[in-house]
Amino acid sequence: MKLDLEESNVITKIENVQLEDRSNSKIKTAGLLYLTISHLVFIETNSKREIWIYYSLINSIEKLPLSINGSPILIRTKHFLNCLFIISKERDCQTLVQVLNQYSRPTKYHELLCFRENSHLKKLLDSTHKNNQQIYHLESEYARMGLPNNKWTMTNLNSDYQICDTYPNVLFVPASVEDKILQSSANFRSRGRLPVLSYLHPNGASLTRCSQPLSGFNGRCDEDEQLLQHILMTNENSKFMYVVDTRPKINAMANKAQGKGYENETNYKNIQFHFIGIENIHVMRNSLDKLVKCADSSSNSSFLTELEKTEWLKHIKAIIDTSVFLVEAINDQNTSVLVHCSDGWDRTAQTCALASLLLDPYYRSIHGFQVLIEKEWLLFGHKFSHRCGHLFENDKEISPIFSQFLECVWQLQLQFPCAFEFNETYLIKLHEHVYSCQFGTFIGNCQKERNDLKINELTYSLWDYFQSKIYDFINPLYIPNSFYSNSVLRPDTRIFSLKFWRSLYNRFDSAINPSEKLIDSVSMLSYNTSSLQEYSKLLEKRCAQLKKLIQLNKNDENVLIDLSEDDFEKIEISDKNENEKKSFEKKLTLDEISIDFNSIDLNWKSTRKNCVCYEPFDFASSKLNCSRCGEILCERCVENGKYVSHSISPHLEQFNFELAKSNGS
Amino acid sequence: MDFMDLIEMPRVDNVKVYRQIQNYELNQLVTQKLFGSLNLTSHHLIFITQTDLQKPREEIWIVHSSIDSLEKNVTEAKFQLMIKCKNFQIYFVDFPTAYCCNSIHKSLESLSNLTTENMKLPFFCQTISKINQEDWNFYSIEKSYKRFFPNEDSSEWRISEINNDFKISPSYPKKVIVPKNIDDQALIKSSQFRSMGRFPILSYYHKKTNSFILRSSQPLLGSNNKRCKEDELILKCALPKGKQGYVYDLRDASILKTAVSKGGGYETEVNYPLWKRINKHMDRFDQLHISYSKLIDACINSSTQFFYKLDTSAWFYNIRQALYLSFLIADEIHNKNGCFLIHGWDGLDNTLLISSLAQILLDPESRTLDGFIDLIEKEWLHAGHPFSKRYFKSAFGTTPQKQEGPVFVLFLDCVRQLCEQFCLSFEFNEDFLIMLFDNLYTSEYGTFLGNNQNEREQLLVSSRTVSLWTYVKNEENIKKFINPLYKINDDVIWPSIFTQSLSLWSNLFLRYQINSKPSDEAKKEIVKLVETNLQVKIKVEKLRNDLLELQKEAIDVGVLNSENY
Repeated sequence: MKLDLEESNVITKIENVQLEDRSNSKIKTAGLLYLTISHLVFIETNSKREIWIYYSLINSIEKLPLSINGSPILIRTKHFLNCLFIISKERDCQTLVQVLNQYSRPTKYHELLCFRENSHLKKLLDSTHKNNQQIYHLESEYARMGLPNNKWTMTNLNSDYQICDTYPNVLFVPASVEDKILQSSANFRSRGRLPVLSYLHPNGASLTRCSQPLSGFNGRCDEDEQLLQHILMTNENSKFMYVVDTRPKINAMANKAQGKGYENETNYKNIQFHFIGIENIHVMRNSLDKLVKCADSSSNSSFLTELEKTEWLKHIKAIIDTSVFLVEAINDQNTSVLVHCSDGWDRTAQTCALASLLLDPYYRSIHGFQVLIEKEWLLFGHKFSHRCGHLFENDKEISPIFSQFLECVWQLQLQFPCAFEFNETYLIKLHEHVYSCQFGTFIGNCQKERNDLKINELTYSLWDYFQSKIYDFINPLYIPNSFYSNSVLRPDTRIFSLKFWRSLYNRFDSAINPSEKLIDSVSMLSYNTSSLQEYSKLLEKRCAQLKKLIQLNKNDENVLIDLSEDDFEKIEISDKNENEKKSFEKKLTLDEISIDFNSIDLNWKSTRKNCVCYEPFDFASSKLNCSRCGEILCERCVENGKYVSHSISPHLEQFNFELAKSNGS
Repeated sequence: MDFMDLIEMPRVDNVKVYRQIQNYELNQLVTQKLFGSLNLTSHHLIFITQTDLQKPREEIWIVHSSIDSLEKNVTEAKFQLMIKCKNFQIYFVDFPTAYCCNSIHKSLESLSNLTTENMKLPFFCQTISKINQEDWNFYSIEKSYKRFFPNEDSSEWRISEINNDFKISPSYPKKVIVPKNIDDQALIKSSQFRSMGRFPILSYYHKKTNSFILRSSQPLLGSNNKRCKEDELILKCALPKGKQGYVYDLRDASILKTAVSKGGGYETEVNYPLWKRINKHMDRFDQLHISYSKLIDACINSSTQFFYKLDTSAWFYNIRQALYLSFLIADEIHNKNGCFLIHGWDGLDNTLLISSLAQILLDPESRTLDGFIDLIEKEWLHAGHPFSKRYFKSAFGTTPQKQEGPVFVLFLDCVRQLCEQFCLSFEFNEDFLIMLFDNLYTSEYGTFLGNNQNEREQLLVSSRTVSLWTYVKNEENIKKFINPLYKINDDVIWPSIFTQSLSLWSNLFLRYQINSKPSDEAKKEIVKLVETNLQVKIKVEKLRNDLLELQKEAIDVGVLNSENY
């Protein structure tokens, strides 16, 4: 998000800075660097292009060896923007590093951006979406699944987070189970994360999740075994259930030695136990590091071999494959599944969320997807702040677990282009803001922590922000009732069907991304259609008014009638009533007609063109047409309301209306 | 020779056919087993399933010439034939006896390897639609000339008919564009100095900057350093003042010595002082064929190390190189002062690839459907790309002569990459390119028969076969090939050539492996959105007119307040 420099607190300004083009090191652009309390801003001298980098998004600051032009500093961000600045004065360079180190490494939650006064968001969200913060209720999502019913019930056992501080305060468990059993099971599971319901399929098969049992080599817990039997019994269609350990077997074995481990099939009746083999957070972190390097060396001719070596897509494949396994068990075999990994907040969250998305079309709508993230990730305690490194602490905790989930969804979007209500930009922006700390939504590691931080009271919600610009996120190709949209998604996970996510990992490399973006022009087309539909209604109304005027005039030459637009409907009903006719006071003037007539431009500029303000370099930045003049406007100009003379409203109103509808249901 | 001589056994019963088909519901490949009889006709292998109460009769027709390779697997218990088609479809056929299997194998080997052009399918398919001479004459050199030089009088170029009888250069068309002040005698001399008689001719003229692309074959310098004054004169005369000439030699500099020792060579700086020679390597057609085979192998046996295999196939290297070189040429022509002569060895393959790609970048016209067909006619068919030789076998097969090489397939893939990067700037779509690919190897149409215009004339192709463009121009068919989002783009397009920017052509190379239904659904939706948009625009136009008329009437009768007028 870009703001006005005048409104930002500028700490210092650095002159004579050059920005090196990432795709061609020979090209350098001169400009100025501003350091504000929250941003690093580079403004090119010649063009008007501006680059705004949130300190919270900065991943690394690297001083490269001195060159003849000055001191090069490479800044890499968590959303994959790499900027190489060459600063002519060594002293300026030191200032820069010092400021960045001071501001980009918060150690306490309250130092984060989202807790700061933000006039930009205030303007944007308070005016249009006042008090609209959507607080997510677990109960309503379970109610959507038809719960509670005679098989499943809600328990308040964790109302004060007393049995598990990383779970939500309401939990859904088999109706037949006693609290005592739940309590003991929680004691037997790592961090108290006992088996609870994640998703209930209409056929009765359930998806439940937990952490690993504290079984060690021989340990067992009668109540935990009973709980699994109760879960099994909720589903009449199957005599057994699966227990899926998403870890590679060797990792699970190693855990045994620490008194943890996995379920022994002989102790638990009628379970089928499976290891699947998704790697742990450290492997994923290293894989991403390699991937970023691979994507960055854009002149690299052996890119594909390098891509193979990162094993990134192999990991993505493992996550999707596991989710497909869950889907087949639940949907095709009517069999319940209990999923866990070690603590049940990384791999378990990935696969449970993805399996739900594959099973239920609801989660592929904008609202449903948000609900899914709230449920499986936020409420069930995926440690966002640790995994995303929101605070400057242990970086061994950092891992792109949620990003991998987003990438899996993107791979699905690619394979099923009509099955999702939201587009790729939604995922890319979501990825950015999970790290940006600008909104409170993803701050903290679990619900309890967010409650303690008073996130809901003190910060803006990302979901509200997204809603305010929902037009950016609609997939124009979404067909809700097509075969693939309406049914269980069965992705093709053969390696050639998985793609490198160029628009995320090379998001800011404009030389690498396609010059013409298909989805932009399709979106434009559908917005254009809806604007013109509104417009044609207006024209029809005016035509009818004029006809009526002429008609009345023919009937009675002497009566002068003024018509107003608002009263027009009344005429239809009571045009015979002379008295009422005379009561219309507003005049229909030529001016009015001409304003209406010119309220829309018939030939919108192609999305090939750029906004007048600056060159785009962010592939995820959207383009909108002004419906009045047809010009292309960029996101920033729209958000800042810089071009008030332009109008992008006709189609936007429609989207706000639609969203209100889907929220209401 | 009669086809029937090649068919020992026209029909075999109790045959099992296995093929992989897509289960759309489960979104996965399943093996389909069919039971029935196999029939051989002069041009087709026809498999007919046994009629069954539950299942309707099914037929599989395989054109003999679409078979790329046959592998026989005869053991004591199994008599199996694997049929790999040029379009990457694979069938397994189980025969009841070894004798049948051997007999059919033998027949198919002969039928699928017929080299006699006269026996090819298009000559037997005259009934698919009426032969339309207009479609055969869709392209003419005069058409190009008029486009390049709207004002003939001021042009420095002329059309020469020196090759009217195909004597000077058998692989050139009858008419070519050459510099105006070079007479035909000089052309003859130059042709004697160039391999296969392919003297420098105009390929493209960029009106916006008056720069151009010439192409030819290598000069025949030989070890005694021959020179040809006339050839030098052509290049000298072609180059206007203020322009820099570049000879783009698509061979690595290290190979030039070998070329000279074999009687070929290059334009020396001494004899062509105005022209700067640049050597850029492109894999030759035979290397490209190996790359293609590796690529398809990676796609079919993709379980492990897919990306590594893709990389080592060098297919992407070839795409990058082709796009990169055309980019450089387009940049020089449009932004600087460069004029080009392109050639490699004989100027039959990579030369045509680079010159046609450069034109697509430079010339908006070539991105329209008609313009693209013109380009294929001009730069490939008329330019003498040996279609018959290069596409006799596809990715699974080779002939001992090793003349095959999928240069045109690489061209189609490059164009598709451009279509993907500039999704609004091309009038035709991916399906059009895939249709061209299919007709390249096996066609009912005569367009890609023979190796040059000369051969096509001798075969009387235009009077005995239907043109592929007749098929394309059919009202029903053309709809399938139009990009609904097309908006003319008058600018030069500058593609991205990083490996990340390129993609595997899944809808072609993985066509029998992936489910295209979900993406077809999206394509249809786009068409629908475009149509709805068009309709609402028409409606709005009409309403606007209505309103203006009513407004006028209202003013006339005095009911509308017109005080501001």
